Amino acid sequence: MKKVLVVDDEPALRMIVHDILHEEGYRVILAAHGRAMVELAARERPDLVLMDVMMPEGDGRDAYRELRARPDLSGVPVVMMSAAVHPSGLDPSISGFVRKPFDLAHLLNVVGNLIGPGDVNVAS
Amino acid sequence: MTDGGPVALAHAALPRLQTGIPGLDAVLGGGLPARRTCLVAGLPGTGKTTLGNQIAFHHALSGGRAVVATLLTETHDLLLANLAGFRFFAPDLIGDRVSYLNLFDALEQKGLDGVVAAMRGVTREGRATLLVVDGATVVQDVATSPLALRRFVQQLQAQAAILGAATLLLTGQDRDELSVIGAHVDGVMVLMNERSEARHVRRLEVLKLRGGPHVAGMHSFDIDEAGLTVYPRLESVVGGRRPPEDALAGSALGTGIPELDAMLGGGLLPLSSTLLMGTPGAGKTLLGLSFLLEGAGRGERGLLAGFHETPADLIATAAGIGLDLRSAIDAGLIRIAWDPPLELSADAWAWRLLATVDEHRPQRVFIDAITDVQRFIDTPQRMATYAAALTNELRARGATAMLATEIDAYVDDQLAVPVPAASATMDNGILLRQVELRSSLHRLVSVLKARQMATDPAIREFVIGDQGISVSGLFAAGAGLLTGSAAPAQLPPPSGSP
Repeated sequence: MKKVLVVDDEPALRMIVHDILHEEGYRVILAAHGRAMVELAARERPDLVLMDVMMPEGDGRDAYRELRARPDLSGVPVVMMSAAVHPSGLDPSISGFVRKPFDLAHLLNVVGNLIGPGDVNVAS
Repeated sequence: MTDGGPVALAHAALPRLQTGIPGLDAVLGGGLPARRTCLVAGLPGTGKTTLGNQIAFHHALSGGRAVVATLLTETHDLLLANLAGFRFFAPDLIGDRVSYLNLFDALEQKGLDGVVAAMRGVTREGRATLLVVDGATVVQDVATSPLALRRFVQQLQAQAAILGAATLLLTGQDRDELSVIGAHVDGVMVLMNERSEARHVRRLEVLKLRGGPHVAGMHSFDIDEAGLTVYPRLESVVGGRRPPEDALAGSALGTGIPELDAMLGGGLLPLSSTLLMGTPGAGKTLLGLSFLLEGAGRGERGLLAGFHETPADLIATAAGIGLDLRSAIDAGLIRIAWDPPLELSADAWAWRLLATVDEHRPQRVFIDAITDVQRFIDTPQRMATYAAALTNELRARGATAMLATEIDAYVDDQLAVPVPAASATMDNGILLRQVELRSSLHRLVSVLKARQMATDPAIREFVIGDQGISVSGLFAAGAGLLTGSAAPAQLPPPSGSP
C-alpha cells in the first residue's frame, strides 16, 4: 500500500487529508512540523511527502533541504502546499506545488500523477 | 515539477454562491462564500429550515448539487410535505440535484467524527457543491467538551474547502450561545422573530462573514409562498448615488398651480425633493395629484404611492375638482401604488416602491404620506437617514419627489414639523394648513424653504374649487396663522382718531 506522509501544522487539515487519502487507498502518516517529517520519513520510507511550507516548528523549506541532503531519502517526491508562498520562492527541484485552499480533485490528481492511484480495495 | 496551477500573489475575493433569496445576496455582499462553512442561527420558528432548503433548490436550479442533511429534526416525509407549499420547491430535482439524508445514525454511532465522515461521504458521492446541515444544535449536545466542538467545526471548515462544497449549518441556538461554534465558521447569520407591539417582525443580521464585505446591522425579511424575501435596511444599501449632472439641468417643474409655482420661484427644481406638510383636509393629496397631472399633461410619467385612498377614491377625488386622473392612468402616464397602512414594513414598502419606479420610470413621484411609513419604521432614529436614502435614490432614478406629511394637530401653539429629521434632508418645504378665523376655516399655503430658488415668503390662501386649485393674494386677515389659531389682524386706526 502506497504511503503518503502528510505534514501540516493545522490539525483539522491534517485529519481531513488523512481521511480522504485513506479512503482513496493510501496509507497515511502524519507529522505536525518539518523536523518530525524528516524523522518519520527516515523511519517509514514514504512514497510521497505532502508538506505545508509555513509551519511554526520546522519550516517546510528547511525540512525539504534536510531531506534532500540525506542520500537515503533524496529520491522521495515532495509536493509543497501553501496559501501564501508563491512556487517561484521554493526550491525548483520540488516535485509539485498545490495552492491552498486546494480542491480535492486537484490534490488527488497531483498525488496520483506522482505515485499512482491508491488501492481502494484495501481502504476500509 | 507538477504545478498546482497559477498562483495569484494577491488573493482575489472569495467567489460567492448566490442564495437566490431576494435581498439576501445584497446583504451578503454577493452571496455565501463558496467552499466555506457558515452558520445560520435562530430560535424555532425563525425560518432556518425554509432558508436552507430555499438556497438548496436555488443552487440545484442553477446547476449545482445540494445535499440537505438532517440531525434530529422532523422526518423527511414531514419536511418535504411542509416544503411543498413553497414555490421554490421542485420535486423533480429531488434525488438527482437535491438529496436528503439523515445523519443522526452516524452521530449516535460514531460521534462527531462520524458526522464529519458521513458529510464527506455524501458530499463526495453526490458531487455536492452545497451541503445544508439542519438541526446542528444537537452537535453541541453530544460534544464532550468545547474543545471537541471547536475541533469538529474546524474539520468541517477544512473539509468544505477541500471538497469544494459550501456548508451551511442550521442551528436553533440564540445569538448569545454562539461563542464557541461561531468563532470558527466563516460566516454567522442570525434570524429573529421579534414581537413589536401586537405583531411579529422578522429580522436577520449577519454577525460575521469572512472574505469580503457585507451589509452589517439588522434587516427585515418575510416568509410567504415564495419563501424568504429579505429587505435590506434601505439606507444601508441605497442613497449614495448622485444623478448625472446633466439630469439636474432643465427648467423647473410646475405644480399645476401657477400661483404656487410663482411662490416657489418658478416651480420645483428637477430631481429635487419636497416635503409637503399639512393638517388632514388641507389639500395635500389634491396638490400632489395636481403635481402629477401637470407632468402628465407634458407627457411625463408619474407615480402616486399612497396608503389611504384607493385608486378609485383618488379618481373620484380628482374629478371633484376637475382633474382628469382616470385618463392619465388609462394612458399609462400615472400609476397608483396603493398599500393599506396596516402591518407595514418600512423597508419592504420602500423596496417595492423602488421596484415600481424601475418598472414605470416616473419623472414625478408623490408619496402620500411619509408619516404613514414613519409609524412602521422600527426605530424612530432611522427616519432621517431612511428619508434621505429614499429621496436620494428616487433622484438617482430620475424622479422629482413630493412627500406629503401629516400634521396631526389642527391647532397648536407651535408649528411642529411631523418628520423633523427628514425635513432637514429635503430641498423644499411647503406648508398647507387650515386656520379658523371669524368662525370660518381657511386653507393657507406657505413656502417654508426652496433650495436655490428665490421664494415668496407670503402666506396665501389656498382655494380648492370645482374647477381646480388656485392660490389667492396675501392672506392679511389674521396673525398667528401657522399655528392654526389666527387672530384678526390689527387694522390701522381710522384717520383723525386720537
